[in-house]
Amino acid sequence: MLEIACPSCGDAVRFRSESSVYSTCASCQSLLVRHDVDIELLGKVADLQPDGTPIQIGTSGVFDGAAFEVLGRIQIHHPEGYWNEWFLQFQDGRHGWLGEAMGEYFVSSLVQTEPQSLPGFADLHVGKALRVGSRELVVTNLAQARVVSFQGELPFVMSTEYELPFADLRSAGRTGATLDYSEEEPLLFVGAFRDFDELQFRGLRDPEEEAERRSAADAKVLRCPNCGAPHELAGGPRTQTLVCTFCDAGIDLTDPNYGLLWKAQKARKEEPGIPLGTKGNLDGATWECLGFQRRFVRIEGVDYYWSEYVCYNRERGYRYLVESSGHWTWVAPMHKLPTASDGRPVHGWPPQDFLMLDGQKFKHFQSATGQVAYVVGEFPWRVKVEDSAGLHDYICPPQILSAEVTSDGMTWSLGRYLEPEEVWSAFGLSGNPPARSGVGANQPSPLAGMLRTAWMQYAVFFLVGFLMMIGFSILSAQAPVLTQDFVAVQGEEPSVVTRPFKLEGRTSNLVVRLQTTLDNRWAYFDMALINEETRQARIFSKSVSYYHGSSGGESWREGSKAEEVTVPSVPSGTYVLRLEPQTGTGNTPDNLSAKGSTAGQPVLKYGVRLTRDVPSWSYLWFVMVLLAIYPILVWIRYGSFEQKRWLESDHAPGDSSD
Amino acid sequence: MNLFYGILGSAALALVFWVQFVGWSPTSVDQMPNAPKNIRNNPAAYRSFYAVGFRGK
Repeated sequence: MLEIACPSCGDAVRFRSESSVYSTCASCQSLLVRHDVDIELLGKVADLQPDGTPIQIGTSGVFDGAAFEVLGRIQIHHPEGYWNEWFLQFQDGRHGWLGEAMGEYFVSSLVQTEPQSLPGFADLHVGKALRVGSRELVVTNLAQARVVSFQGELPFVMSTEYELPFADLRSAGRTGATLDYSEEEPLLFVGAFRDFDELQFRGLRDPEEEAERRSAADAKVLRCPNCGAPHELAGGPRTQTLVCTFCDAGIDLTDPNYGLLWKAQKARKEEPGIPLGTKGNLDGATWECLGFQRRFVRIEGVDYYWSEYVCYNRERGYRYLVESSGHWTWVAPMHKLPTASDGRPVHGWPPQDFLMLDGQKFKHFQSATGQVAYVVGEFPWRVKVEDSAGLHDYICPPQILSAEVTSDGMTWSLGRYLEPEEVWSAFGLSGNPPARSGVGANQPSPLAGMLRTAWMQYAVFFLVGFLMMIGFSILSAQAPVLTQDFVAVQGEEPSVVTRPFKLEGRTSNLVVRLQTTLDNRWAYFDMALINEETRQARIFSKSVSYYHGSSGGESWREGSKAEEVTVPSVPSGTYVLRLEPQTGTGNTPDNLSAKGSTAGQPVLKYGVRLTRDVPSWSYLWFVMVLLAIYPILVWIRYGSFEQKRWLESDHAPGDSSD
Repeated sequence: MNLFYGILGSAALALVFWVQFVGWSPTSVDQMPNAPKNIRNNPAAYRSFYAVGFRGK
């Protein structure tokens, strides 16, 4: 490390890195350049704009296991606000950059590449896909930026006239890239997004000291240039636009003179449901509601409004609390891009049927042009009333994936549904939240879990029942007990008794199968199963009929020549079966006992087959049909809930455009 | 509700098991004691409940 005395003020100036060619004196803002061991004073650096960053020169951190120290800083201004590029030195001697904006952190390093392999700035557009090495990246932001100031050690010379056209690229993962078109040949910086906690910062600015220093430096209260109302900026220097809560005038805070963006708004004044300045606890952090905007989309001539609250946390940046018809969503900007149906990061437009994110499928819900109707409070970007942007929503309840697209950029965010009571409790609000109307786009169905459980239960019942019946089919005796044939002869006693047979084993059923030679005739069998030991008779009957013919050239059949009847719960023992048949062709039976001209002729031939312990699957099917009623009813209710959800979408049920 | 359905389904399957085990069926069967001992030799000596009872003695 090289330490020298500043040629301007004499204070110590350090060059911690061999790569650092330039450094600024922390005391007098002099810019010094190092020529081997000589130091040259180049002049003074413009003041840094206060932006509320928690990082400072000397802050250390960890990126993917590698420790780093912050050596220098470049503050850059672009149309949406400020961001910082912090020059890093890693413990292993490497160098890199930490991009910091609105609570997002991107660590990158310069990648040597063939300049002709990179597209020109004019060839780029938002949504264009590029291949960088093995990764596919998509352009999400195109803008012209300008260096405002710099601080500490830097590896190259800087000036505040430095124009910086750039393009931000993102991927389906946490990898990103920036194309820097400030020099003759484009420069490619490739890196990854990390959360604040992941970088394990040490030596950050003390927020209380910072507040004291700022209030001492800015002794005057910020007064609205239109109505004179005093304002204290809760978002600190990160706030770009302030909309006066008294007169609705818009004030440009990037203008040193706090110029007016507008004096009044066309829309009528609205009171935010959550008062600005309210603090709440969500996602393990404290958030302050700084700004409120009312937006709308116009669909088939009807305006649909919703509210957005800009919520701020010093370390985590910004989140948005969205309220629509009493439904609340907590929205966070996303680093990575979802993937399209082809598996590539979503690029270009029009919207897909669905997108994938972290293995979850998000279905397209709605696309429309959103407009700002009314704004009040603090915003970290340059707000304009009547701003419009293309909005595309995809849902996987309770989550919603949203894209906001303008000609300059495409911003993706991920939201999750919050119950109204959860919002009110998080922000400590009194009273009740506004009542919900209809079904929210990403409102989780209260029946989804119930339906899943019901069908799983049904599946278990079916499996258990099926296995049980398989077991019975294997283990049941299904033993043939008796086979005997009979002939009913005209003029003789029709009733018969089978030879005795033994039924063994546990109490079980006995299946009686009657096989006949009926031909356009019916038969009725009166039967008695008689236990020869106990003389107990079990009495039952069965009809058999079989008819056939032809009509209009087509033959038909009705009935069957054979039928079965199951006698239930017959204990073991020795039995005989008595059968008394009746038969006929019309409504009354033939008199089989009558002796006449047909005496001695066979009237009915039939056989009896007895089988013991026969399982029956029909009871299981009957029970399974009954058990299916509950999951089907839940399914119908679930479908009704989903139908109400999709009524508000571009894919409403019954919409012929689908 | 799912708990109630679970209990109901389990009870229904238990019923199916019992039905199979004891050989129950919905067949209408009447029981009468004291069938005559000589029924094998003389089937006509016995008339069932339906044949005798309802036609009245």
